[in-house]
Amino acid sequence: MLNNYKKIFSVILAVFIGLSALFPFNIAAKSTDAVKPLLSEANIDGGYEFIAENDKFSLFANKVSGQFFVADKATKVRWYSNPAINEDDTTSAVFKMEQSSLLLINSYDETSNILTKSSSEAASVRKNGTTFRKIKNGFEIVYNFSSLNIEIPLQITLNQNGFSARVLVEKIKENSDLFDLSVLPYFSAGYPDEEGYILLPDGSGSLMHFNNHRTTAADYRVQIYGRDALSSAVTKPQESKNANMPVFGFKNQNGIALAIIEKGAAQAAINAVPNEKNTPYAIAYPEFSLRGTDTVVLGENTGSAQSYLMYQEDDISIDGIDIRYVLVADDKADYNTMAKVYREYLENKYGLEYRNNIKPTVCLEFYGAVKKKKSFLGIPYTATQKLSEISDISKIVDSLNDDGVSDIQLILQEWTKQQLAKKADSKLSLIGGLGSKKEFSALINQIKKQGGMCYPSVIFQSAAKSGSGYSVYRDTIRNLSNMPAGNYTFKRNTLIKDMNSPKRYFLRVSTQKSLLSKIVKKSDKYGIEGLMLNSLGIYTDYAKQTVSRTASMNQLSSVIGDVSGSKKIAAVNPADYILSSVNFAVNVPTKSNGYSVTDTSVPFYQLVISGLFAYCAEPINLQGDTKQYLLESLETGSMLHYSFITEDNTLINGTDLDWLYGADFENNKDALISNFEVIRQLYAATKGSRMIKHNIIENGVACTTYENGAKVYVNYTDSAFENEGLGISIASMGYLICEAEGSVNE
Amino acid sequence: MKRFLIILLSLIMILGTMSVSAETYTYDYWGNTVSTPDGYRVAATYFGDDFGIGAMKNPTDVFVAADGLVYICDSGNNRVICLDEKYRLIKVVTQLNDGKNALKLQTPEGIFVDETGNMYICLKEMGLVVKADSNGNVVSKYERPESDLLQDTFEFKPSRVLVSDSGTVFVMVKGFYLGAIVYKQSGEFLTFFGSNEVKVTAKMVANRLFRKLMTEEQKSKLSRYVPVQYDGFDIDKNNFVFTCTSNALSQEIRKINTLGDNVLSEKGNMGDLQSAFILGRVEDTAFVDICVDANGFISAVDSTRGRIFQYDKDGTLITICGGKGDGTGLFASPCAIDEQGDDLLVIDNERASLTVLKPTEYGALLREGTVLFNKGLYAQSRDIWKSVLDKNANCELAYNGIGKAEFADENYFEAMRCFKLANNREEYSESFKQYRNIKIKQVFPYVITAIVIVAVILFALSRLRARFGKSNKANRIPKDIKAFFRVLSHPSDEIGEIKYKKEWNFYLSSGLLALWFVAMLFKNRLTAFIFNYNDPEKFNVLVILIATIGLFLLFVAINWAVTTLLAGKGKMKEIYCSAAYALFPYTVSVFLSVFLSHFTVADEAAFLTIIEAFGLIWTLFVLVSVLKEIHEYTYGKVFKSLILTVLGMAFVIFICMLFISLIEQLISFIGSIFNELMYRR
Repeated sequence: MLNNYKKIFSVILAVFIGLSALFPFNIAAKSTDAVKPLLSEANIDGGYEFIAENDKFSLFANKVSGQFFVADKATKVRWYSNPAINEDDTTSAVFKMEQSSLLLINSYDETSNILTKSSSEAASVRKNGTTFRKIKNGFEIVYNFSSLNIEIPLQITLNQNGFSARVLVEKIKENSDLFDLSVLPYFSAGYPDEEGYILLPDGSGSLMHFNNHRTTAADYRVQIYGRDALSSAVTKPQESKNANMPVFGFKNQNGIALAIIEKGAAQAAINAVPNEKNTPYAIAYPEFSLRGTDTVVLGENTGSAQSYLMYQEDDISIDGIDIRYVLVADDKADYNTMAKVYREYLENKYGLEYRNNIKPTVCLEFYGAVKKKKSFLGIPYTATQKLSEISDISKIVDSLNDDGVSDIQLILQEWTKQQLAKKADSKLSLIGGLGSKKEFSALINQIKKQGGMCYPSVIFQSAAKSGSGYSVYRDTIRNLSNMPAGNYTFKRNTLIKDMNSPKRYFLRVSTQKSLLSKIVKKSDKYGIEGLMLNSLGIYTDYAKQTVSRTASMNQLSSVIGDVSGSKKIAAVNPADYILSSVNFAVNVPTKSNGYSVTDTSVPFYQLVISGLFAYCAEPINLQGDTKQYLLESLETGSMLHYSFITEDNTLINGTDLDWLYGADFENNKDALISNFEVIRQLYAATKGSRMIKHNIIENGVACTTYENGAKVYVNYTDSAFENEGLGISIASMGYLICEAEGSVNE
Repeated sequence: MKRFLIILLSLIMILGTMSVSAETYTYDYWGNTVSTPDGYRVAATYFGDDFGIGAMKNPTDVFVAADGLVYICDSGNNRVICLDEKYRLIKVVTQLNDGKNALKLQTPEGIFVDETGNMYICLKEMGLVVKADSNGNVVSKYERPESDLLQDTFEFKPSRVLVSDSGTVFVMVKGFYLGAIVYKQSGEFLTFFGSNEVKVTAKMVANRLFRKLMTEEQKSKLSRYVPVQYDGFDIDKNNFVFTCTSNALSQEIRKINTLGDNVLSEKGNMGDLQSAFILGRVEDTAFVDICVDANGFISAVDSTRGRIFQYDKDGTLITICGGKGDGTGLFASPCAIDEQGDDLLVIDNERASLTVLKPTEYGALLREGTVLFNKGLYAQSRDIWKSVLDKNANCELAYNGIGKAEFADENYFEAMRCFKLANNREEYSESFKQYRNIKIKQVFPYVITAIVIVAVILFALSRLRARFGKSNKANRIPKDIKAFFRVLSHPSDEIGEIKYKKEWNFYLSSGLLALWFVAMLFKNRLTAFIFNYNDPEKFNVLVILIATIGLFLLFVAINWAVTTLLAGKGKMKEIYCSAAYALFPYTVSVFLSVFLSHFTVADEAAFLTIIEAFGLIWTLFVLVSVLKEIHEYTYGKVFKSLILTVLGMAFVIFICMLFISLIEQLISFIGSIFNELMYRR
C-alpha cells in the first residue's frame, strides 16, 4: 500500500520536475527595487564585521550566514558574495533563500529516490547550523545541513590579488548522499539596472550581459573539459565547442572579478542564469560534481523503453575545491583585463613563456586513405582507397614554397593502417599505397627545411577494435553502469544511432600512457619530430577503482608533458593543463557556441594563448563562407588551415570522409596564396607580437590590437564602416590592417 | 557497489535533454545523406529586448511586406510588432479602431500585409480575422462562415491568412480538413480551397466494403477518412498557393492551382527521407510553415528536428540548414518562416526570438545556378556550377547543370560523365544516344569490313569442309551436352529418353543453376547505368543468392512434395535436373540483355525487355513440358500441380518469416534481460 503511494508520489514528482525543466518559472520581478549598497567604508551594514586585511584588500563577513564582501582599499570598490535582499520583489521563497546562500548542494533523497537541491541559507543558516571562526587572512564557516546530516566547511582567505574560496573536501561529513556542490552562486551578481556582463568560457569565450533579460533561453551549463561518456545515447547529443579553460568572470562599472578554478576544475560545470529568470540578478557559478550520475535506457528499440537513473556510491573522489577570485578595481577593465590576469596566472602556474615573435604560417592537413566499398563483378568488398600520395604532397609543398608560401605546418591524418582499421596506434605502419618509408622521411625533412614541422596524427585515446598492445574488452573505461564507455556514430538526418558504424571505446589512461610511449619509440623510425593529437578527452572511469576526471586529467597532462620533451606536439583546442606542452594549436574555435543566454562571442581563449605558439582555426576550404571565415581568422589572430587530398575529390563520396567535399588543392591554390598574403601583411604590421586587446566597436565591427600597437579592424556588416575620429574606413565584409604608427593598408 | 535506482522518467524529459547538432547534409539521388557545406548562416538573432519592447511571449508568425517592413505576431503579449528592414522598431500595434470602439488585439496568430499597407490579422481566440489599413482603422472582418459542410462543433480559430492579387482572402484554421476558407474582400464567404488528398489504402477499401454490411450505429463508430489538414501556406507572385503539411508521408509541400490540384513536380516524400523510431514513437519531418521567394525557392520549417529545407520551384532539394538545440543556428521550436529578399527570417516560439539567416557564398552560388538552370540558360550557369564543385565535389545539382551545358555544346561524352555523377538517367540516356550515333558513324565502315571478311572466311571454311568430307567434330561434343541442347528444342521427347536411360547429369544441372545465379548477379550490378536502379550501397549478395538458388531449391522440394501427393512419377533428382535445364534460355537472355544494355538507350528499353521475356517464355515452356514428362501428367494436371507448388512455396516462405521474426523477438528479449542483469550487478 505504501509502495503504491510512493510510486504515485515519485511519478508526480518526476512529472513536476520534467515540467519545471520545460517551463522555467517566469518571475516578473520588480527590477528597479534592488539597489546596490553604497561604497563608503563606514557603511558596514547587513551585519558585516571586519575579519581580515592585507595591503590591498579588506574582508568583511557576517558571522552567522557567512555572507561577505571584499573591499579594495585604494578605490573603496566592493565585491559582494550575495546581493542585497529586497523583501518586496516577487522572487519565490526558494530562490530568495538561494540568493542569500554561499553553497547550493544536490543530495540524494531516500524517500523520493531523486536528487534534491538545498541551499545553505535555508537548510543551515536559518536553522542555526553554522560554525564560524577566523583563520589567518580570512575565515572558515562550517555549514551543517542538519536534516541531511551533511557538514561542509568553506574557507575564504584574502591573497595578493583578491581572495580564494576553498571547500575543505577532506573534512566534508556526509553519508554518501552528497552529489553536487555549487560555490558562491550569487557572487558579484549583476543587478537589474547595472551595466556589465559575465564572461563565460565555452568555445572562444562569450559574454552574457546583465539585463539581457533572456528569460526564454535554455539553461546554460557547460562542463569544463567536455562531457563524460554517456551510458545511453538514444539520439545524438548536441555537438558543442568545449570550455577548455576553467574560468569565468564578471565585469561591472567598478571593475572585474575573474574566477579561476584551481582545484576541482575537471569535475566542475559552469552554470549561468540570466536576470529575471529565477531572480532579478544575472549570475554565474561553478557546480562541482562530487559523485557521478548516469542515465540508462533499456529496450530503446521497442515500444516500451524505460530509462533509469544511476547514482555513484563510492567515496567522494575530487582532489579539492579551490577557486581563486582575482579582483581588479578599474572601471575601464573588461574581458581583455581578464585575459591579461589569466595569462599572468598561467605564467606562474605552468611556467609558460609568452613571446612576441610568432611567425606567419599556414597549416595544411592531408588525409591519407579511407575505406571504400567497391565491387568486383558484383561481389562487394571493402578496399583501402588512397587519397593522398606522399610524393604529391611533397610536390604541393614545393610549389607553394615557390609561390611565396613558406613555413608550412603539415598535419597527416588517416596515414597508418591501424587508424584506417579504427584501431589505436601503437605500431605506426604507414599505409602502403601512400609511399615508401624513405619518401615519408624525406617529406618530414623537406617540411623542416622550409621552416615548418610535420605533425602526423596519432590515435591513442580510443579505438573500435582491439589491436597491438591493448584490448577493447580489458582496457576500456567503464561507465557508472559498468558498461564499456565509448562514442557511437549517429545518423546525420534522423540522429539515431548508426548501427553500421562501430562504437569507439575510450581507453584507460594507463593504457593511453603505454600506447603513447610505444608511439614515441616507433616514430623514430621515420624521423618524426612532431605529433598531432586529435581532440583529447578526459572521462571518469568507474571501474573497480574509480579514476576521477581530475586524476585522469593529471595523468594525461603528465604523459603529454613527458612526450613533449622529445617530440613537438600539435593539439586540437588545447586545454590549460597542456598549454606548456603544445607547440601548435589546431581547430581553435573562432566563436563560442552562441548559447541563447549569451549575447556575443569574444576571442578570450585566443587572447590567453596568443604569444605562446601559433594557432589556427578550422579548415577554411570546408566552410560555406570563406570570406566571412577569413575575417574571423583575422579578428582572432588565427593562422589559415586547409584540409586537402591529392587524388580526385569525388573519391570521398560514400565514405566516412565525405565531408572533405572541397579538398582539391588546385581549386584552392589561388585562394590559399592570396589569403596567405593577407596573413603576411598582418605580420608585417604586428611583427609577430601577440594579441593583447579586442573590442567590439559596434555590432559587426571589431578591432584587435597587438602589443606593438598594430591594429586589425574587421567589418562583417553589409555596409562600409567609417569613423573619422579613428581615421578609418572599412569596406563591407572587409578588413583593415593598421601599422603601429598610423599608416594604413587594406 | 553502485546503487541502482529505478525511476520512471517521463519520456518528455528525456527527449527534452537530448538535443541535436547541426552538421550540414543533403540527400543524394538514392536518399542517402551526404555532407555538404552550409547553405545558410545565422546573420543575427533578435530577442524582444533588442527592439526595446521587452521579451516576446509565444510569437507565432512573421511577415515581410512588399515595402520591406517586418511584422511579427507576438501572440502571448497580444500585440503585433512592426520593424523596418534593418530590424529597428517602428511601431507596436495593440489595438485597432473599429468605428468608435477600440478593438484590442487578442492572440494575434497570423498576419499578412498587402501592397498598400493594409494589415490582415488573425485573432485566434476572438474567432475572427480583421483587415485594418495602415492607420489602424478596421476595414473588414472575416468571421466564421455559414456552410452545410461545417459541423456545428467547428470552432473558427484562424491561425494564418493570405491575400491574392485580386483581393481574395484565404484563411487557414489549424485542424480544419476542408482546406483554406476563402472570402471575398468584403468579408463574404466564398468556398473552401485546396484540401489535401486522402490517400487510398487497403484498409480504406476494406472499410468501404464492410460499411455496406453495417448498421447506422456501427457506421458512426468507424473512423472517417478525411484529408489531413495543412499547417502553413504562402502565395507566390503568380497566385499559386503553396501549402505544407506536418503529418503526411509524401507531398508534404504542395503547389496548388486554382482548381485545387497539386502541380508541384515533386510528388514523393519531402523533408527528411527517413523517419526514426525513438523510444516508442515515430519521428518524421513535420513542416509547420512555408514561404516562397521571388525566385520560386520554397523554404519550409520542420518542427521535429528544427530544420529548414529549401527546394527550388520544382521541388528539387537545394539545401538543408538548422537543427534542434541551443546555440547559433539551432532552434528550440521553430514555428514560422518568411523570406526577406534572399534571406530567411525564422521565429522560434519557445526562445521568443527572431533569427535572420543569410545565404553563405556556397548557398548563393547554388541559388544563382539553379535560377539560371531553370530558365534554360545552361551555358551561363556552367561557370557557377564549376564554382560550386570547387567547394563541394559531391554536388549532384552542379553535375546536372554542367551536364546540360555540355549537352547543349554537343560535348556528349563529357555530358555523359556529368550526368552519371548526377545520377540523372534520362539525360544520360539522351547524351548516350547522341554519342552512340556519332560513334556508330565513325565505326560503321570498319564494322562492315570486318563482317564481310568474317563471312568470307566462314564461307571458305564450309567449302573446305564440304571438300574434305565430314570431320569427327560432331563426336567431340559430349553426349550429355548434346542431350541437353535437344531438351531445349524438343523437351518432351528428350526428357523421356533421359528418364528412361537414367542419364541425369547432376553436375551439369548444378552448373546451370550456378550460371543462373551469376546471371542475376550480373543483372543487379552490371546492367548499364541507364537501366540500373539498384543502389550499390544497399547491395547484398546474400539476397540474390536466396532469391535464386534458395528459391530454386524450394521449388524443387515443394514440387516433389506436391506431385508425390498428386501421384506424380518424378523423383527429386529428376525434378532438380530437368528444372535446371529449363533455366538455361532465361539465363542466356539475361546475359544478352545485360550485355546489350551497355549499347542501348532508354527509349530502347522495350527491346531489352522483349529479349528477357522471350527467354522467360522459352524457359517456362521447357519447364512445363519436362515436368509433364517426368510426372507423366496431362496438361491440366501439370498446371494444377504448378499452382499448388507456388502456393506451397508461398506458405513455406510465410512460415519462415514468422519463424525469423520470432527468433528476433527472442533474441531481443534475451538481450534486454542480459542488459538488465549487467546493470543490476
